[in-house]
Amino acid sequence: MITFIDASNIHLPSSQALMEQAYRLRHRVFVDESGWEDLRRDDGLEIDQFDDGRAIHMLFLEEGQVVGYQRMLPTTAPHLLSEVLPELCEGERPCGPHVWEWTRYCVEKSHRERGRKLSYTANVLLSAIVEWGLESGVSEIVIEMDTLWLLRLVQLHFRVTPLGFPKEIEGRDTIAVTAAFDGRTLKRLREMRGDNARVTAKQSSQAAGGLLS
Amino acid sequence: MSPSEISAEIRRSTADFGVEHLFAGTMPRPGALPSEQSKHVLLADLPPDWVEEYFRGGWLDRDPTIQRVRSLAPSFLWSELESGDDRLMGMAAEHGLKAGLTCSLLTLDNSCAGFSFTGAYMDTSPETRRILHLVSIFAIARALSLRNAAPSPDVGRLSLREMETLRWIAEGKTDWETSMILGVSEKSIEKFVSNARRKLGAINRAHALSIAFRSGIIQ
Repeated sequence: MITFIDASNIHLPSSQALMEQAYRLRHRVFVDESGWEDLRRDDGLEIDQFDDGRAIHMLFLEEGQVVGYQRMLPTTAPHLLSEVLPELCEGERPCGPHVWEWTRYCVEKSHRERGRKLSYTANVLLSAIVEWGLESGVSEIVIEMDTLWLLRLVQLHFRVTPLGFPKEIEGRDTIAVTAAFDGRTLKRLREMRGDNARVTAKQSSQAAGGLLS
Repeated sequence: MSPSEISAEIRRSTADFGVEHLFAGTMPRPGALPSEQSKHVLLADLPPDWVEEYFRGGWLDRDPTIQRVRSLAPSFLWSELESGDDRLMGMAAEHGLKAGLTCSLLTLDNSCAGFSFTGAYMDTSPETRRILHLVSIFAIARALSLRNAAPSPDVGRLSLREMETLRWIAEGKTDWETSMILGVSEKSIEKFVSNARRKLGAINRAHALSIAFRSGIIQ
């Protein structure tokens, strides 16, 4: 099950402890591994200006440890595409309550792709976005990513629309896209995972209140 | 939409950049037999005599573009290749494939795929390269979904008798002669051929033989 942490529950001590783990995972992956030196911090926690009350953090835990993480940001407030990487969007920037930005996706090294398949953790994180989106009136996500991953998204039945041509950013071929999803996307992810179980609790029973309002 | 329609559509929309031919496929393991290599082809719009020369000559394992794709170099021009063996590129040029751009892609099942655009004179400006890169991604996604939907020839399941029968027929023997050679009835030979035809997804004898040749069952 994916754990949701947002403005409604982030103040709880249990959430704080999990968020610290998540920020450490982000630091390990984005600073230590990917070399985003601008984000380096002495305390080993990777926290930026978007980790405010508007973000929804999705955590995948295994035996109490955060092994996967991603963050959703509303496009109606400042987000990476609007503030940090505006050059990746050549036309009108997608914006609205039905479009959220997917950022800081990361998976603990030990839980990544082995062999040929999309890893279970990666699948659960993606499934969480689709389950959450379908029940919250969110139908597409904005992604800035290495162009290499684009084909995989299309193969997972996301309807991908480039927002501009790929540009080289810190040595990587980076593109911004919107990826729309529907029941077909969820079906495909579940088929690949080999089970039909939900990975998120029903929206009504989730702490993520205020999302629909 | 069929693979050839995808190819035609891409050629129409990229003709202004000088793209005359294209080729796309996933990467066979090094040392794969020609029969195995051909199963990896997703889109092919190339001069036929070039295709024959390439696969017959076993050039795939010596092809510098294949090596670059396997290393997942994002996209590269053929003119940028530094290759010890440039005979292949010389041969390609003789077939009018003088300029080329190859893009590497990573599929969902974690295999590499390559997409080459080629022509006598191609616009290789950075902007065109980026456009062609995006085209290659969406085209490969479509071609892969077609391939996954289509049944593949069940080559591995031909029985020994069925293979032997195809071999003798390819040598010009009649059903009766083949039945004498194999020591079975003429009816059995007809049965072997029709089974082989069904397993190979062939519409007639000639088609079955050509599939059998291409996939290396008979040589």
